[in-house]
Amino acid sequence: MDFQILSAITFLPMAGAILILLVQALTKGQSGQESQDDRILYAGLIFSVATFLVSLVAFIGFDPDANGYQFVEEMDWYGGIKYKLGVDGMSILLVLLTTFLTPIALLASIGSIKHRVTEYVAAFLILETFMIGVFCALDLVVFYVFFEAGLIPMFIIIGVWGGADKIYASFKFFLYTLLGSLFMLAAVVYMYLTAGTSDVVALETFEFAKGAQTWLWLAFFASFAVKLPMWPVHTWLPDAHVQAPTAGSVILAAVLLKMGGYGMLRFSLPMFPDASVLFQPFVFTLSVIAIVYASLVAWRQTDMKKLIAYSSVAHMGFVTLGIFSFTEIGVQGAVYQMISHGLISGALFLIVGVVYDRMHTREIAAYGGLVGRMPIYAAFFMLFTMANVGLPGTSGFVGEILTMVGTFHASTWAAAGAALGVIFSAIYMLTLYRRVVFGPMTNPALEGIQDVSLKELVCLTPLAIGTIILGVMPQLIFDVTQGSTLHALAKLVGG
Amino acid sequence: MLIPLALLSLGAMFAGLIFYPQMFHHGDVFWGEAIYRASDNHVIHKIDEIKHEAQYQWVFWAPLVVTILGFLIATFTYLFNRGFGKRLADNGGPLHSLFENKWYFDEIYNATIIKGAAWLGDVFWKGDKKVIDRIGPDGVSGFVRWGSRRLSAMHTGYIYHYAFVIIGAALIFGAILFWRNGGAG
Repeated sequence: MDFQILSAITFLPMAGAILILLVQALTKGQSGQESQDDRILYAGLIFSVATFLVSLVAFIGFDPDANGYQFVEEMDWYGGIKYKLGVDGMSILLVLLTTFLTPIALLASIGSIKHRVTEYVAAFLILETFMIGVFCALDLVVFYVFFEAGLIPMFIIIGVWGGADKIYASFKFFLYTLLGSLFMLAAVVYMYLTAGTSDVVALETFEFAKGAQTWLWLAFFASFAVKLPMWPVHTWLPDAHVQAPTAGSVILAAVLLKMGGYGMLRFSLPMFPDASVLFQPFVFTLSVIAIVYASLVAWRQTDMKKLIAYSSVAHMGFVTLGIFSFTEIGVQGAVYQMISHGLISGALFLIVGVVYDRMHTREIAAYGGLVGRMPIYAAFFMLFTMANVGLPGTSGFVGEILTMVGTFHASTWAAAGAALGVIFSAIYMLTLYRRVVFGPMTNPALEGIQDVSLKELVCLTPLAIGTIILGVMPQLIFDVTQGSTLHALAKLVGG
Repeated sequence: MLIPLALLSLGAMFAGLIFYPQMFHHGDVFWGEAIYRASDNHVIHKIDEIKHEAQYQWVFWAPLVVTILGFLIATFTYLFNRGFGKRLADNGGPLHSLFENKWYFDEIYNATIIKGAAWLGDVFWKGDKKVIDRIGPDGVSGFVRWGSRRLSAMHTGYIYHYAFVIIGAALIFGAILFWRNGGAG
């Protein structure tokens, strides 16, 4: 039997979680709790790094010039439903993003998470399995299972290790996403019964009737729009981010949100092309509202995490604009924006986490003048601020400019709205940076604040390198994603 | 410091004189492909053609007139009447305030665009809590809580309450069946 690399990448973290839980159960109470906690976190780290290395092997072995899905593995499950995995350019990059960020999130948790560490690490590793599964699944039912299952560990991460209002935030997150997904479940059942298969490759060539497409598109959209999130179903995100522990916010912003955009590209465009064209003005309207609305709200925030959460809503607006521009450049830009936002938003939440761990507040007003005490921190913060603004030379620029060019081909007005978002992002991010890093240090508690530790440096450096490399060498991504972009657009006008 | 300034002054004074013929008489050669023009756009040719027309003469002379006026005012104010500028500033007056505050552009932008955007941001933010959440998750969960409280209040434990509901429901369903089957007729 061949080595099933995608199954290995998908289930290695879960195997790690099970092993850690078993070992913990067997050795409970044998040594000091604190040293045990650190050991568990390092064990989780080892499993997540191993997963990253295996995914790197898959990425190196991935042939960008080959058509179709690669590393395909399938096994009959029941009644035409198969356990089927495979990746194309877009999904291998999202898998790599997931496996790259999970170790960083776990490393960032060392010293921050003090109770129920075993369960925490297990929740993260299980979440990683589900996230990778979503991006690898080539069967609709398998996709749905992974997509839904991912809710549970994140619900637990927010609900157990979250802030003061964690219960409200976790339930809101759960209810929103579950409600959206139920519509998708109904659509999955209909598609399976109509087409007689849940194989994604087969469904891509199946022609659904126009009327059915409309309903199916709406059902999938309900789920993906909540996940992304799009206005007006975005209100779970700021609460979830504010209450989640730093590592939870990192994974939520960097990976979980991308599932919405990924779903649109994998299902909505290729399977319901007529409905996608029909709803293009609707998506454009919601996206532009999201960009302007979320940017203005971000600017008015007093909590750093909330500001970045609203900024994510605005940035995801660019993703939907790019996807629904139905142009190669727009879709390439959308995928790029997803990868880039994964790095930048993850880094920004880590940046907030650095000062939160020291001061235990996320209030912008509690800071100011940090550059004098934390110069390295200020430099990292500057880089990620500029990247979030979309400064040329950073990955944020490439994604935004391409989605805007693609959108311009489809709608000048939508492109103008998106351009407004770029200006707003400069306003709210530079305001945040100025208020936290520059100005006089008015809070006496900041007098003794220490610059970034070695652990924090190790977390932030790879993200900074990634942000700059993708900013100056975008071809690295385009070469990999071009095939999947053209594939997603194949049934659409001008594809 | 004076040498670069002198060089820049020479450039400022004579660059136009030197480069004007190349830029306009031989505009196509000078600009080449640097300025994109649509095939029906002849604006650069036209500048050369219309500069002799009387109605456009003021456009060509205006910069020179304004420069000379500025030079005369500056000479008068800073060389021959050194206290004049200070006296003007001390006396104030609306014109002085207007120029000192850069035509109040920053204030106008602040009062309109910045405050307007901030107000809009606050309204949207409140909209998230007071409209979207109230109708959405908070509203739905509130409705479920309210509904289940009402429903559980109906469970009194008295047999005659349950009997009343059963008889009432039977009557309603009976009536529906009766009507659906054509009623008494």
